[in-house]
Amino acid sequence: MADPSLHLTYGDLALASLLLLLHAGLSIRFQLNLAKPLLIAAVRMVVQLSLLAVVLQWLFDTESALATALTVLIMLGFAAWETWRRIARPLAGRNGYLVPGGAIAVAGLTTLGFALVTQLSPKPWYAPRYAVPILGMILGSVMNAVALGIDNLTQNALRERVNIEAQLVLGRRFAEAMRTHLQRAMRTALLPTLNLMAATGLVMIPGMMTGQILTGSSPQEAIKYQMMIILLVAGATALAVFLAVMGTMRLLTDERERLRLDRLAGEKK
Amino acid sequence: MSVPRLRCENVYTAAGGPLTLTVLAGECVAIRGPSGVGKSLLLRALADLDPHRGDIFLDGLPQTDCPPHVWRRQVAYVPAAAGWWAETVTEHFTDFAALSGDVRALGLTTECGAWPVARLSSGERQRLSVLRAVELNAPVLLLDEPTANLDPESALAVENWLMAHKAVGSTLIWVTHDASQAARVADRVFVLDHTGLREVPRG
Repeated sequence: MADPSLHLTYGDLALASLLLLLHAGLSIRFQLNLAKPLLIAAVRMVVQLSLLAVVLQWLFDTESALATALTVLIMLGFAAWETWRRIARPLAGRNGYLVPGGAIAVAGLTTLGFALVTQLSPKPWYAPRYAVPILGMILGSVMNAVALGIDNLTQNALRERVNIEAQLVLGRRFAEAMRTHLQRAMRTALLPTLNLMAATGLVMIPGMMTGQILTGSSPQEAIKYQMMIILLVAGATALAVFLAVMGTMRLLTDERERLRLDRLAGEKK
Repeated sequence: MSVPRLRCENVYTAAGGPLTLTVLAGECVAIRGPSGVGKSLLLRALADLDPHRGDIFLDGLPQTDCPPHVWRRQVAYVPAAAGWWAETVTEHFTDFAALSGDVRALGLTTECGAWPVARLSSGERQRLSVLRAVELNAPVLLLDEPTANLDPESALAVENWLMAHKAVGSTLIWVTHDASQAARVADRVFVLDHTGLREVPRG
């Protein structure tokens, strides 16, 4: 702790939740039906983060390569599953997980490895204190973007089937017939990342550097780390979206350049 | 004996099979039959738009030996519902201005090239989608109810215009629900139903 004058107690945390409780009161008074979901979400967040603190503390103390590798694998697995869950019409069968999961794993691990051996170079290089939180930040953004990209591509292919096939029957290549849909899917997926970079520092101060400043870091130091994280996250996101959307498009066609919508899973629920 | 222009041998579509059909160069073959028996699926298989079993040949060349986009320019499919992917009509053609004679023969105005697709009626869309496929100069045209959305007069204009293309060598496979149309345009008429594909008398 850089500045001992600022030390959070559990009482301080309870105080921070007062505003939510106030809103819960308003919700009950005006019958907004928001009190329960809000409180459940808040309790969930507290329980999840408390568990995370225990796990992270244990990981940092043991500093075992195996435990770190396992944690990374579990995080990637959850990310693949959560991404699949957010796509309305994913690819059917294993590909529904493997394509987004593979894209996320390749982009996440490449970026993480790159950061660990160049900018950060902790000792040992796999030190969980660095690897796990950075991967977590990367996955948060990457998951969202990959889900948006695949969802947009498959929904557009379904909706625009007649227009895509109209181009195929005139002798256009599949890649040509899909070009605007491919561009749209990539743009949709990267839009939140682009917006975030544009707004950061002007209207929004990222949570990570806020936390660092609150614990006593100088703004210059905090901002340097924040920039590094944003650049890493944006790079990983762009790479993952590229791999996931291209992979999905490849599986939406076959060696005869047909539009294979039969390879998509049915409507969920 | 010469090689047939298009031959399909024991083809199975999602609706079933086996379907076998031989079409000679310059011939028009009409296919009739109740809805849902796979007439469109047969045309889609001929254009290689769906996975299918069986063999299809163009001038003796197997479909699988021909790159898919090259095949589809030779065996041009005109779906019953036309798709549009760009803003204006001309963008869907290679050279719309060169087609002004055909545009007029189909009962359309040459000005429609500049129109946004959204302005077209269903009948105009249908005629333009036939024209778009004919522009490819494909030896074989697969027509899926090409006059379904047209008034009798326009339908006749499309028939005559397609017959003129047939006269200069185009081979047509024409799916229609209209028995009298089949009799007018086709050299041979087939019926596709749950028992398969069989030739019937034209009249």
